[in-house]
Amino acid sequence: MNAAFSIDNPRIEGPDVVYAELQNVLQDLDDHQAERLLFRLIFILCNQIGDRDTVLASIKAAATNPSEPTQQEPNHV
Amino acid sequence: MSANAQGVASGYTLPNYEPVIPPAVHSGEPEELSVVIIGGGLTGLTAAADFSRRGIPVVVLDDDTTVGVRGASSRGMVYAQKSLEIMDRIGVFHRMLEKGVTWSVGRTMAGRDEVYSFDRGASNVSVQPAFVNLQQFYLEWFLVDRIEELGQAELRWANKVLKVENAEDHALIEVDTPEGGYRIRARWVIDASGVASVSRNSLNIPTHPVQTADCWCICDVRFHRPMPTERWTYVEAPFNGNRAVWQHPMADNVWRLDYQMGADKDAKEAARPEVARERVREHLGPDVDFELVWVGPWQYRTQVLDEFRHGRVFFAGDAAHVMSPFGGRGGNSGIQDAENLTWKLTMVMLGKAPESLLDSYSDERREAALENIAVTSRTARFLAPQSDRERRLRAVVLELARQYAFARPLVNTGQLSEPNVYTASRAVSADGGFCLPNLRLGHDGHSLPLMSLMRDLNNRLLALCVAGPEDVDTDVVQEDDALAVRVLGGRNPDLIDPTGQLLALTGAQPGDVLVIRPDLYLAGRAPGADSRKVADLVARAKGELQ
Repeated sequence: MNAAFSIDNPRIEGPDVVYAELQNVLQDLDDHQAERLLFRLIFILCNQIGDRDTVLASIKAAATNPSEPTQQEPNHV
Repeated sequence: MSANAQGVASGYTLPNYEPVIPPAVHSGEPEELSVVIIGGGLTGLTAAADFSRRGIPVVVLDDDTTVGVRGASSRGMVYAQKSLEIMDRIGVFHRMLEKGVTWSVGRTMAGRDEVYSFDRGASNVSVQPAFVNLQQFYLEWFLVDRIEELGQAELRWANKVLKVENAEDHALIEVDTPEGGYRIRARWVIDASGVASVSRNSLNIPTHPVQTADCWCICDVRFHRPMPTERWTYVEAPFNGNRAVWQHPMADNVWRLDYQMGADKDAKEAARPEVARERVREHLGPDVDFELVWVGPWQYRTQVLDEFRHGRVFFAGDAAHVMSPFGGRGGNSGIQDAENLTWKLTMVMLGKAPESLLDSYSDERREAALENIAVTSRTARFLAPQSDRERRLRAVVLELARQYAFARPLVNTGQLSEPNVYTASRAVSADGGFCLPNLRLGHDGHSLPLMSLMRDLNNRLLALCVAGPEDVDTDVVQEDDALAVRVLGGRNPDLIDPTGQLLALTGAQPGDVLVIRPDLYLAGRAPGADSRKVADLVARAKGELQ
């Protein structure tokens, strides 16, 4: 996993603002509209991160089943 | 004008070669040969021509009596720069350039909107252009002519291989001809016979095939409407039911139009000339007169061998690996397989390197095949989403690509063939393993392409001692019949790097020694002050280190 990747430490100042903004943009959308927005957001964020290893590590972390230990590598899809 | 089995005018007259009946058919005695190439297709003929140019006699066995595939006017058609460089060394590039269509610009369309384009010409540092499009049978034809001109190889048409067996110091090949069978005891065999390899089956070698359901249909079409000589790819073509379409120019005013049909289509129905004509008319518009040259449905599949060498038998091209055709990676990788194996086997046969060098063929070309399969499979999946959610994911990419430049490279219509990087080969060091372009060096006041330099070194590796303001000590590396030594730059140069591209690509500093292989791959770089590291690098490039 990339040395720059950090899953345990909060890195955003004022995360409540980010969370609230996501709530705002999603609140009036149906499931397909919400999915479209989130897909767009993911691609934009991936580009902002800019480092492929960090993006791939993030995808793996997101795909890890919450009931599994976080150290375990998820299966490749 | 002839007609093929599907009733479509081909407009091509292919050569017909006489069947060859070797004396062993009548003598009954096994024939002893050094190198036998099974298959006179693109990979096999490239290997035969390359061996011929290197002075190694070979025999090619082909079950047909012509080039290309009987009944099919063309298959592969994009030749990327690395292949063009190889063909230049072999001596057929000038014919490709004269007959084919040179291009460097590719455009990707979503609907009628351009969402992405590239121009490989702008950044080109090679003597050869980025791409030449040419029907595959033409290139095979040029290779046959060149092989005959060089006079080192025997092309045995109508010689069908029935069985191959490995023994300790040879392989035994059973061959059938129109006048009967015979046997060959070959010291080395290169199986370049394609997907349906007989020797692979004889030796019980698994291929791990994966077939996809997505169906495509090629329509090679001749028309005279002015069109840019560019590759256009449509992800969602409105004239093809919002499915993908490829549009490539080829020789003779013929265009390769390749239509995605979807998984539920009847392939035979899609390839019926009447159905194909209607599809092309939708594409080109009602006012364009055209002629169908060839129509053929296809589905992609992938497969790869676990090892590309089995005893005395090497597998190359489609006999070793099959991949989706996106980016022209199939044919171009077969050409590179042939080059990789040819120089190594030549050095071994001439006693310039140990047999262990040959094991690096599988290291390198299998890694390349796996990468090519991964790259083309990602393209295939982008073009044929496997669920409604994947389709929506792709729709977002297309939407973003229209809106923002950053998203345009996400529109995956295929990454065109490039030389692969070898990260796990026993014959390169950690800072080598990548291919140098055929860039221009300077020699005696003249421009000297790197490929020409390597060709003239006559089956040797090249150690380049990089000089700075001070003279470089060339005693650190000894020239022999397997290794040439030259000084690059400095006060008394053998060669100069006029643009600095070679130094920039390799990261070489004054005092370094670069070892370059006959296939233009950098074997590695070592500090000239450390004679042990230089010796290790040279030994590694010769395959002496495992």
